[in-house]
Amino acid sequence: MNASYSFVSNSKVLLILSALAIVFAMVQCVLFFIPTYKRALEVGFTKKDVIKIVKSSAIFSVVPSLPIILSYMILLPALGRFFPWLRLSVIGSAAYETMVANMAVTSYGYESLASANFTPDIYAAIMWVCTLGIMLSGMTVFILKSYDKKMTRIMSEDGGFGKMIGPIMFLGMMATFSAPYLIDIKNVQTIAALLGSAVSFLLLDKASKKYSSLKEFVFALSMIFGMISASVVANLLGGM
Amino acid sequence: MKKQTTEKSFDDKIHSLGRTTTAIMWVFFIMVPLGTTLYFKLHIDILRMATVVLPIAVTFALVGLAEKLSMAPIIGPGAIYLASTTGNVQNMKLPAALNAMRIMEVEEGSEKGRIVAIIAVASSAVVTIIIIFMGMLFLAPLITPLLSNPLVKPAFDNILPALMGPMVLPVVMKNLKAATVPFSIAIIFALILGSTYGTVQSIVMVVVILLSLGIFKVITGRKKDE
Repeated sequence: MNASYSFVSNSKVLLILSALAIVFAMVQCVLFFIPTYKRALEVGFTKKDVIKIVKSSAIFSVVPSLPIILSYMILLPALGRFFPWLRLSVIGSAAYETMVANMAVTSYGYESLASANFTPDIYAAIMWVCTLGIMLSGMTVFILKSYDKKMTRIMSEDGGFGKMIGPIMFLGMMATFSAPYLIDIKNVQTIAALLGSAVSFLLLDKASKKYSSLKEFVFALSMIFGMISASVVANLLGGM
Repeated sequence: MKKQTTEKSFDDKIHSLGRTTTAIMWVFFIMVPLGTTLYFKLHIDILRMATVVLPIAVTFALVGLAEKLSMAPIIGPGAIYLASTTGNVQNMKLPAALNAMRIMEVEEGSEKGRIVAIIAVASSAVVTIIIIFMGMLFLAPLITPLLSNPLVKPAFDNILPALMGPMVLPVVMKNLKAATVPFSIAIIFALILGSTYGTVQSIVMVVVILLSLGIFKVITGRKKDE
């Protein structure tokens, strides 16, 4: 990193401002958790159920969080310690942050993020672009209240179609996510991951009916088996 | 009657909490570049910045809108508010919510489902924040060589397809017949769009959902007539 802007990118000011935002994101989680926990007990869940949800979600989240650290290492030389920490901890995703930071850098005439030879002014401009670039997207939550009310009304209407809306939307979402992998038959690693996780899910799900304590780990374990399958195939076939 | 009032107040509480905390969160986000710019007296060419930001903002606004409209009826608005500010929706928050709903055997979009999703997304967000914090402090230099190792790298390069198995399979198994329509439409889009599919995926999702709903509405109408 060019020393000309590292006094900004690794400054205490940026550390404090980033930390404040991250701390508030955690406060937001707690603020949502408290009334939801109370409501959960009201609708019939037990304290044990809630612990089970927290535990399984926490365990599942460990593995997908690890590659984010890799993205942090990619952004670190160009953007310093604290701004990538903020962006990857909250709001963004590894893919978005790397893409937008690159777009911002190239639009200011630099070859890529790896150039890392910015002036402090350009560094600030990159921070602004990354922040404002996703702001409108974040603001779209403000339509959720009216949308939710309308959808709830439509979905509770009498007749077969209203009740089908939820499952169809869900299937549509899953179909959209999985379609690029389903057609990528030449990519053996992807197919191995897909099949490995699907087969292990079927087996583990069946086993969890006998051993109920396994149930909360089925999802995470299936994902890990899928990842291992991709790795095994890649290494056996020499990274096809 | 009392139960209905409580239900209503919980939904309203979540919406007002979501709106307020999102607005506050954005003040914190804006404070980062603003505070840094002011503290170091940096000069920003606003016009040039606007020309860079505008196309990115519009593209991601459409993607964000499509994502929220499609996911809200499934994991509920509460989980969406949280996922929206904490990020990593598709690879972490959504699977965490779906996994929790499956474990608790609750219907997607039901009141219980929404409650489970909020708890799952909040837990997932806290774990990610802690892990990345550790990454920044000491974990990153330790874990990077491991994740870049040729033996391990293909595993982490394929997290998303590995998530698809446990995420998609139970839904398809439960609705085998109904699944054929959206899956066929999505596959056609993937074949037509090729490598651009990824960049417009959220918009494709809305189109797939709308087309599927249209087809099912016609089928339901015909069945009624019969």
